[in-house]
Amino acid sequence: MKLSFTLNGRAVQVAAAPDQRAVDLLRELDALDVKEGCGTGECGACSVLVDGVHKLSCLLLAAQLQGRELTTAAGLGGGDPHGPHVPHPIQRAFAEQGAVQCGFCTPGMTIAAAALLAENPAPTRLEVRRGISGNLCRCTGYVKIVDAVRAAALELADVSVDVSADVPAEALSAASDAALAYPAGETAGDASSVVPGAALAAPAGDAPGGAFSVTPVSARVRAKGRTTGSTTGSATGGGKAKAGGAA
Amino acid sequence: MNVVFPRSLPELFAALAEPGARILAGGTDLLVRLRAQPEAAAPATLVSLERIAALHNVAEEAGGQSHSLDGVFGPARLPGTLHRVVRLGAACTHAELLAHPLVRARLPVLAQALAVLGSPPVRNMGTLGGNLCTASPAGDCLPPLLALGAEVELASASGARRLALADFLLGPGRTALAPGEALIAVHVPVPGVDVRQHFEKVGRREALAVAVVSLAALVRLGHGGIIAEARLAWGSVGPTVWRCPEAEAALIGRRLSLTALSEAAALVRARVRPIDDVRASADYRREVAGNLLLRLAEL
Ligand SMILES: Cc1cc2nc3c(=O)[nH]c(=O)nc-3n(C[C@H](O)[C@H](O)[C@H](O)COP(=O)(O)OP(=O)(O)OC[C@H]3O[C@@H](n4cnc5c(N)ncnc54)[C@H](O)[C@@H]3O)c2cc1C
Ligand code: FES
Ligand code: FES
Repeated sequence: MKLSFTLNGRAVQVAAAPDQRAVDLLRELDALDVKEGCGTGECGACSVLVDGVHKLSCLLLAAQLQGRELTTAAGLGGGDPHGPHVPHPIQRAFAEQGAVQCGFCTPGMTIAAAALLAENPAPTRLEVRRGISGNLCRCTGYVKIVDAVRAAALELADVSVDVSADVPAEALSAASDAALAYPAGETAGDASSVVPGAALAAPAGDAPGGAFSVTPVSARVRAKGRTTGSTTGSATGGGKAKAGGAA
Repeated sequence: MNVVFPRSLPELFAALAEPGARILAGGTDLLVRLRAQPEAAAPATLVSLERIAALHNVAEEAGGQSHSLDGVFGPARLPGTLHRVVRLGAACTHAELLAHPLVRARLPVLAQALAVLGSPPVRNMGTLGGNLCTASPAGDCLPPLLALGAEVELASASGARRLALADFLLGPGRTALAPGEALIAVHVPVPGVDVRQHFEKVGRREALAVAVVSLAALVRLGHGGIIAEARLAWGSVGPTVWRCPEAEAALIGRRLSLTALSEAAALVRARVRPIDDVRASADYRREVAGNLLLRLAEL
């Protein structure tokens, strides 16, 4: 069948079998950033955004792409498609935070991160872990990936941070992460698994807020200076970042 | 396989009437299964639900008006239930339902199950209808919807019908769907505000975990915190979702105390008949099936 869709902003017209897997079609179209790990929905290496929604291209068929807007990791950033690629802040943060080792999971991870930040611009560490929970990494141990996603969140929120402070991520999360020290805190900070029901059993009318609500970073962190891009450094004291609503 | 995209229910029924047609919803069960099978066994045509707007709605309705089958619906409803029903379109994804204010406010037991189903991309793709029609004993939507007394709305070219969910789920991978029939919606009676709702799943890990044991519980508390009614439904401890009327009965007239719950848990362990499999032993499942009840003391 003849298919037309948008791939990373570029209109694509291609003939494909309707039941060809999207992951195979995309790789044939040179979107080699789309990886196949498991082929069964478990690993997230084949992640793409379909009309902005994080989906798995190993469980999508070519026919389902008709008329859709697809974004792969290569399409997250900016720049001329034929010229030099400008990495997305998430991608830059992955590089700067050391969140990439072999790199096989990275395109999928950055897609998951982009989808997460679009929905929740100021995730806690636990929320990041949940957001990327459909993506496996065999190399990094995830800590630096979580660091990177949070660093990117700060940058995307256009937070200005005092260079000497270098603590925006910590400040942002201090309260919410206090309970998250791995591993015991993994559930301690998670209301819905400690007292299942408590988080969601909000009275009628309280639906869209409650345990799931987030205050945008921009409303929570304000400080002077310029963005450092690096947030892994330990608190060097004199931090001027304020995390008003982080509790 | 050809893939077709009907845009309305009449188009859907026409497509399903063709030989070798098979519904494709999110594909998270079907495409995994088809890939594991020889190609010869594949359906001739996959009929996608993704462009049928009528299957993607969530709405609250007055309970009385839309029901012709009072006999089926009546007994399933908890006394004290408001006469309201939430209708969930079968092709809603788990993520759509989880984000929906009606689901979160009225049906927290379902929202809690959806929150731990698969992973974000699986929730963005997988649908309620696919979860029910797969009829896995580990399907996370099944225990909450059974405890809630949900009904399914089925339809084909030759008409529509309603069934209690309990009568729809016949066994592992088996449902009451007739050839050419589709699951259109799930109707869920809204529990009253005096009903506590709770879901918990125990898996091998936090995300992407097939349930080793799960429990959905609805407990209606009367005056002084005395239990007036309990509805308990366990996943992954038998060929279909398992209920334990003895434990439910034992809780009535008691408080949600550890003592009362421990006694009910002993009844559960004595009666449940789980199996050993790659994920857990029968003994472990039996123990945990009882233990999950104790969590209700925290409600
Ligand atoms: C990595 C991974 C993790 C998973 N984790 C979980 C989990 O934690 N918990 C869980 O419960 N499930 C899990 N699943 C299973 C699956 O995602 C869910 O069961 C999902 O709800 C299936 O829905 P679907 O729309 O993808 O169904 P599909 O795969 O599209 O369809 C499944 C079956 O139902 C039929 N069908 C679908 N919709 C209808 C309808 N409206 N009318 C009639 N027939 C219909 C199809 O023909 C097919 O036979 C997981 C799957 C994967 C791949
Ligand atoms: S290849 Fe698609 S999830 Fe692993
Ligand atoms: S960096 Fe190697 S799999 Fe993640």
